[in-house]
Amino acid sequence: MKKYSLKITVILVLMVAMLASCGKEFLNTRQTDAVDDQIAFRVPGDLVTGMHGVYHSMTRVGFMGRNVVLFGDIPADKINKMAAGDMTFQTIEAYSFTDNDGNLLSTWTTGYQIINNSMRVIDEGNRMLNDGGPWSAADISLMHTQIAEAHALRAFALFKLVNIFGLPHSTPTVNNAGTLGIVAEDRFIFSDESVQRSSVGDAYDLILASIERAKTHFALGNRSFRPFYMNYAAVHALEARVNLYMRNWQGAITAANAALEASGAGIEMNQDRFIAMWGEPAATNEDIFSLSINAAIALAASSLTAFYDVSGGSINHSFYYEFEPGDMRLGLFVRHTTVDPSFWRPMKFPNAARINNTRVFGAPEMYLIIAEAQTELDQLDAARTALLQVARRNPAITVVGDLPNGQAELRTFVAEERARELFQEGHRFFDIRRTGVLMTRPTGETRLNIVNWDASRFVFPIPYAEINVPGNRVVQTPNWQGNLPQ
Amino acid sequence: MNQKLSSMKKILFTVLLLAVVQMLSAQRTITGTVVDVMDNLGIPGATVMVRGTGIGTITDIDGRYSLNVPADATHLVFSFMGMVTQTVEIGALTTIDATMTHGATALEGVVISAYGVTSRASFTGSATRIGSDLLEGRTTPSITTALQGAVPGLVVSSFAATPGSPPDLQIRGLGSANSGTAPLFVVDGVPILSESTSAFADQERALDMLAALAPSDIESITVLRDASATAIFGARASNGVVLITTRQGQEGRTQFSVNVRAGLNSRHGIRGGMEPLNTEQYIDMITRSWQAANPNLTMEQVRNELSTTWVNPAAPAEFRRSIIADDVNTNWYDEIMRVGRLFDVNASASGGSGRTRFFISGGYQRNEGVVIAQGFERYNARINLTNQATNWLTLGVNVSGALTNMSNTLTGSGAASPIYLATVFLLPNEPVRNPDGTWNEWTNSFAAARMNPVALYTDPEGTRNWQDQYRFTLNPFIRMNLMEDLVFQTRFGYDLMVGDEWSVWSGRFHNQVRPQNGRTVRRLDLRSVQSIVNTINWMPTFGLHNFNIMLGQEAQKWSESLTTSTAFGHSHPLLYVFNATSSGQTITGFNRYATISSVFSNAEYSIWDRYYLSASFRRDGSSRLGANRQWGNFWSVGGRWRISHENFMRPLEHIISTAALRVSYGTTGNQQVMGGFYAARGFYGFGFNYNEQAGMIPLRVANPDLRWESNNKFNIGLDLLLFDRLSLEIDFYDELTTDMIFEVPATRTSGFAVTTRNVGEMRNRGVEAMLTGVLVSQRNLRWTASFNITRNVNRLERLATDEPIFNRNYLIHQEGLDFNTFSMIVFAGVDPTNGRAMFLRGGDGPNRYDIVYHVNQAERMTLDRRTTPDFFGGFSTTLNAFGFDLSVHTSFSVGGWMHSGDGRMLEHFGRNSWRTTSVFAHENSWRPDRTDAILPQIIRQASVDGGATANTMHLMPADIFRIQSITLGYTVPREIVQRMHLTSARIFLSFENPFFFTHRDFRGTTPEIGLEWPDNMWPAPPFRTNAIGLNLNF
Repeated sequence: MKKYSLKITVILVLMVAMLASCGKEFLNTRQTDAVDDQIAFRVPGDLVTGMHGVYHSMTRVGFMGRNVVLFGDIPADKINKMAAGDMTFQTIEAYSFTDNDGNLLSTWTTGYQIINNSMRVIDEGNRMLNDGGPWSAADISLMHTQIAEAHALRAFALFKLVNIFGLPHSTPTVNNAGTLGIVAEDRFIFSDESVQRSSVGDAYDLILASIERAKTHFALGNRSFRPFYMNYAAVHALEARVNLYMRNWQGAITAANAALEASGAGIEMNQDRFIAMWGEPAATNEDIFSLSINAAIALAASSLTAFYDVSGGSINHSFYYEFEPGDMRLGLFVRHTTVDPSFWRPMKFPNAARINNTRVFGAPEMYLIIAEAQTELDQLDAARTALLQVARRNPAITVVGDLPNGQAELRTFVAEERARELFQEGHRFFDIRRTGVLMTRPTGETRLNIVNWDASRFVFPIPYAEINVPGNRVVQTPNWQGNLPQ
Repeated sequence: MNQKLSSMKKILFTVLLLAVVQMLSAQRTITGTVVDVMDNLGIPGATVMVRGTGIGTITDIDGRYSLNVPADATHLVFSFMGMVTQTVEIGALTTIDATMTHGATALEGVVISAYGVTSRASFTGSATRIGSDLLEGRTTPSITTALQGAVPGLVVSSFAATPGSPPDLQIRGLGSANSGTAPLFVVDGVPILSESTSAFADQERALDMLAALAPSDIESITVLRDASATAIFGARASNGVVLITTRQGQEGRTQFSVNVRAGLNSRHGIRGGMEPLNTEQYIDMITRSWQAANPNLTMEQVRNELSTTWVNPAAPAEFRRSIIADDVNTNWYDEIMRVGRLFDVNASASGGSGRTRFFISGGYQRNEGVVIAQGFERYNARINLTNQATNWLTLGVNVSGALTNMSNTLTGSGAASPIYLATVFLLPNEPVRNPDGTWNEWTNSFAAARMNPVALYTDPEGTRNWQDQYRFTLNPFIRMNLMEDLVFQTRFGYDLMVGDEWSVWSGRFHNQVRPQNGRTVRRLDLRSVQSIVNTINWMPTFGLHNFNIMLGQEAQKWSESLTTSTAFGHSHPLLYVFNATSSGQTITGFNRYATISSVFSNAEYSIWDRYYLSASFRRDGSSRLGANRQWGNFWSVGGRWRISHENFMRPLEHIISTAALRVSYGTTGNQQVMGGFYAARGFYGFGFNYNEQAGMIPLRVANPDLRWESNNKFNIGLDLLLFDRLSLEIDFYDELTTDMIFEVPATRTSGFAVTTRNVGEMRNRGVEAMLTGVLVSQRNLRWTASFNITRNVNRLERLATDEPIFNRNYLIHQEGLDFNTFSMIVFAGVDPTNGRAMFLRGGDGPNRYDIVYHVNQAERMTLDRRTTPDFFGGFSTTLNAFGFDLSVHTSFSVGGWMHSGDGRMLEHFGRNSWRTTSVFAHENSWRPDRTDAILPQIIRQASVDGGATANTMHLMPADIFRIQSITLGYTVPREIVQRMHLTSARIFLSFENPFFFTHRDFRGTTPEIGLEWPDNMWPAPPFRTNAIGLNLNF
C-alpha cells in the first residue's frame, strides 16, 4: 500500500506540473519595451506620445533633420559643395543621381512615416472622442489639439513630398494640377496594400482639406503659441505657403497675417542677437514653428550642421556679393575652418556639437509671402510695407521709398530678397520652380554648370524601392531624366 | 486546442493509473568475470546491466563483478568503451562470464537518441556519436571546435581564433536565409542556452555559451541529422541537433582521475605575402607611388617633398615624423602578438555503492590568446548523482557551475582593433616607443588617428574589454519503473547565465573618446532557460514483436533581462566604475521571454532482429509565431533493414558482419524566426522622443500568419561492417526548407519598408560517407583509422521577389543557385602598357566582354563560385603500440571560396592615403620596369579606379587541409603504476593545430570564414598549441 500511495502521489504531483505549463497564456509572452499596436492608444496621453513620435520623425535625416531642407537648396544656384569634404548630396548637386539614390528613398520613407503615423493618431483620437469614455474637458481639449497637429503635419509632409516628386502646382504660365503627383490617400494605408499615385491637384486638395480640419480641431483645442509644435499659428503659416505656391494670392495674404498675429513673431533687428539666436536652444522671436533639437536626438554627422561644416556646404562666392555692405546677414557668413577656408560657410547651423534647432516657419517668410502676393495683386504699397520688414536688414534701406516702384522690378526684388533671407532653409529650389525663372548657376562655382535651365519641368524620380514592391501600382514619372539639366 | 490537450492528459493519467502494479521483490545474486579477448585479462570498469532496467554494476580492478538481479530478469548486458557489447541470457545461471572483443564501435552498442537511449541496431536515423576520446586531446575552450572534420555533414568554422569565441556550426548545409541556422544543443536531455552574443554586436568578441561546459565532463556528443533522429524535437530541429551527455558515476570503488596539461600557444604566420611592408619596402613603395602620381618629379624631388610630408602633422615638432623616415622599423603585427600560455587541470571522482552513484568533477583552465590582451579563463565544477531509491524509483540530479572570463580587444575593422591598426593603418617607420621609453602617442593621424595598439592594450591606463560569465545548471530527474517494460521519467532543466561584460575605453590612448576623456560601458545580461520534460516509455514484447513506445510532454521558457550602462569621462585614468565617471550617463535595457509547449510521441517496432520501423509525431506551440499559426505538427517515419541477419546473407557472414539499410522521411521546423522573440507581433516602440518628452513609433506590423520555417528531410543510408573490423556508413539526403522567412518589400507609404512573410524555399542535397576501420588488432598493437567525407549542394529554390537579391558587393541570392554565390566585378588583370587595373563589362568585344578601367563602368557578374565547398571532411587515425599511443586528427575542405577583407583593405594601390600595403602587392605591382606584373600600379592619389569596390582580385579559394591535433602518449606499464597505488598513468605530448595547408592562390591570415559572411577582416590568427600533460587515475 505504501508503494501504491507513493507512486500515485508522485504521478499526481507531476501531472499538476504538466498542467501548469500547458495553458494558452503560457504562449503569450509579454514584450517589456514595446506595446502591442492594438492597445497602443487607450488614453489621451497616448495620442501625445504618438504625436511626439511623429515630431521625432520630422527631425530625422530623411526629412527636416536634413534632406528635405537640402533638397530645397542644393539643386539650386546659391549653395555649393565645392569645398571638398565628403560625398553627402554631391550627386544631387551634380544632377548625377539615379532613382536608386539613398537620400530620395529616405525622404520618401520618412515623409510617409509622418503622414501615415499621423493618420493613426487622427483615427485613434476620433475613435476615443466618439467612444465617449470618462474624458474631462481638459482631456477633450488635449485630444483635439493632437488631432489638429496631426492633420497639420500630414499636410506639411504631403506638401514637401509633392513638391519634390511632382511638378510645381502653378507657375506663371502653366497649371500642373492634373499631372502625376504622389500617393495621397485620405486614410490610413496598410502595408499590404497596392497603392497608386494621384495627381498634383489631388495632393493639394488633400493638403488644404487637412489644413481646414486642423483649424477646426484647434478651435476645440489649445490655440496657444507653442513654438516647438505645429501650433495654430503654424497651421496658418503653412496655409500661406501652400496658397503662395498655388498662386492664390489673397488666401496667402490672409493666412500669413493670421500666422503673424497668432504667433506674435517679428523680425530680429539687433545684429548681435540675430547672429547668436541661430545656435541657441530657445525658440527665437522670429520662429512660428521650429523643431527643437537636443543632444538626445541630434543627428551628429548626418545633421545639417555637419553638412555645412565638415561636408563642405558653402554659399557661392557670387551670392556673397548679392548682399550690400553692412547687411545684417553678412554676419552669418564665415570662412570654413575644417575644409577649404577659401569658401564661405553660412552659419544658420553654427553649434559645434551639432545641436541646432531647425526652423520650419518664421516671420521673415510670412512678410515675404505678403510682399510677393501683394505685388502680384498690384497692391504695391502694401507690398512694399511688408517687404520693408525684411529688406531693412540692409542698412541702406530704411523706408518704403527705398524699395522699387514698378511691379516688375518689385517682383524681381522680392525674389532676390527671398534668396537673401531664406538661404539654408530649403526654399530656393522650390521658388525657382514655381516662379518659372530660368536657372543659371555662376560659372565654375558648383559641380555642374547650368545655364538657363527650366527647372519648372523637372521632378525627382520616385525611389526605385517603392516601384519595385511586388504588386505595387506606383509608376515612375515617365522620362524624368529628360528634364535634367545638361 | 486547450480542450484537445487536456483530454490527452486524461488518457495519459488513466494509463498511468492502470499501470501501477505490485512488483515482485525476489532477487538473486550473479557473479562473474569480464575479460578482454586480446590478453585474457580482466577489464576493470566494464558495465554489467540487467537489460531493460537501471540495475547494474561495474567490474572491479580484476574484472570481477557481483550483481543482485530481480527474479524476473532475463538478460545481462556487458559493455565497455571500444568493445562490442554482449547480451547474455541469464536463464538459471548464477555465474556468467563475458569475453569482450574489440570492434568498430560505430555500429554496435548504444546510441543516445532523442529523449533516451536506444540500441544502435534499431536506430533508423542518421547520427554520429563522438566519444570523449576525441575531446580528450583538445584544449580549445569551445568543445564544438573539436568536432571539426570528425562528423560527416557537420561544418565547423572557427574563423576567430580568440580562445573562448564561438565557432559557427552548420549541419547539412545552410538551412535558412534569414532565420537562425544554429543547431539545437541539448545537454542531458534538456536544452541549454547556446546563442552566443556580445554587447558589441561583434561575433569575434562573443563568449561561447558552450565554453562553460568542461570537455572532461562530457561522456559523448551525438550529432543528429535526419528526420528520424530530429523530428522528435519538432520546431527547433530543422538545423539538426547536438546531444551532449555528461559523465555519470559508476558503481564500485571510487575512481579518481586527475589530468594536467601545460603548453604554449604560438601563432601561425600570415601566408602568401599578405603581411605588411617593412620600412625599407615601404619607403620604396611610397616614393614610387608618389612619383607615379607626379611624373614630372625626379626621385630626388620626390624624396625632398616626402621628407617634409608629415605622418602626424598635428604633433608637436619634436614628435613629428616624415613619411619616409627610416630610423625605425617596427613590425606592428609582431608587436601585438605574443606567445600565450595554457594551463589546464581537472580532477574527478566517480563511484558509487549500493544504490547511489556519483560523479564529481572540478577544473580550471587558463588559455592566453596570441594577440595581446586576449585570453580565456574558466573555473568549473559539477556533481552528477543518481540514486536508485527503490526497485522502481530512481532519482538523480546534475548540478554544475562555471565561471568563465574572456578578455578581448576590439575586433574586425574597428578603428581600435589592434590587428587592423597593426596591418592596415600604422606605418613600419613609426616607433612603438619614443627614444626616452615613453609611448609614441603621435602615431599617424590620417587613418590610425593617434592610436598605438601596444599602448592601448598593455598600458594600465589603456583600453580593456572583458566578459565574466557565471553559469549554473540544475538538472534533476525522476525515473519510475511502473511495470516491467513501462518507465516514466520526468526531467527538469534550469540553465542560468549571468553575463557581465565591461568595455573600458581609455581617455588617453583611445582616439574616439579622447575628447570625452574615456568611456565605460557595462552590459549585464541575465539569461535563463527552464524546461520540464515528462516521458513515458513502454517496451512490450509480444512474441516476436518488439515495441518501444514513448509519449511525452515538454514545456520551455527562455528569459532574458539586459541592462546596458554607459558613461563618459573617467575621473582618474585608472578608475573606470560608474562612480568615477563624470558625464553622459545613460542606461538602456529590456526584458524578453519566449516559450514553447509541446506533446510528442515516438514508436519503434522490430521483428526478428531484422526489420525495424519507427515513427514519431510532435505538436509544438511557440510564442514566437503568429497568433493564427502558433501550433505546428511534425512527424517522421523511418525504417531499418538489417540485411546481414537475413538467411540469404549467411554465406557471406564472415565477410559482411553487419549490413543495414536505413530510410527515413519527416518534417522538422525552425522557430528561431528572423525578427527575434516577438517577430509576429505588431508594436509601437519607445525612445523616439521629442522636446524631452516620450514619443512612440510603430516599428513592426503584425503578421498573425507568421509561422515556423519547415524543413522536410529525406534520408537513405547504408551501414556496413566488414570483416568485423571495417565499418562504412553512407547517407544520401535531400532536405527542403519551405516557408522561409524573408522581409518582403512593402509600400513605404504605409510607413514600413518591409513586412515579414514565409515565402522562400531552399534545398540541401548531399552525400555523407564515413569509413572506420580497425586496421591492425594484435596483442600490444592496435591501429584504427577513420575517414569521413561529405558533399553538400545548396540551392535557393524560391525567393520572395522576382529579382535576385544582391548582398553587399559580392554576393547574390538567386533562384537556382547556391544561396551564397559570388557576384562581383571581375578583375581582368593589368594593362601592361600603363599599369592600370582592367575590369570587365558585358559588351561587344571579343568573348562578349569589354575592358574598362574603372569599377564604376564595370558590370557586376555572377560567378560560378560559392562559399559552399565541393567536399569537406576529415581523416583521423590512432595507433596503440606497446604502451605508446599516437593519434592524429585532420580536417579538410575543398572547393569553397572566400573574399579576403584582409586583402581588400591592405592592397589598396594608392587610393588610401599614405597607408602601407602587403609584401605581395609591393612585389607584384606594375612598374615601368616591371610591365608583366599581375597587380596594378601603386599610385598615390585620391581615387584610383574606384578599386575600393570588391572585385575578384581578392576572391580566393578557401581550400584548407588542417591537422587538428597530433597526440603522442605513453601509458606507464601496470606493474610500475600499481606500485604507486595508481590505476593508470599516462604522460603525453599534444600538438593542436600544428599545420594547415592552403591553396597556392590564397594569401592572408586564414581561409576560414564565418558561415554568415564569406569575408574575413583581419581576424585573430590561428595558432598552434604545444602542450605536455599527464593523466592519472587512481
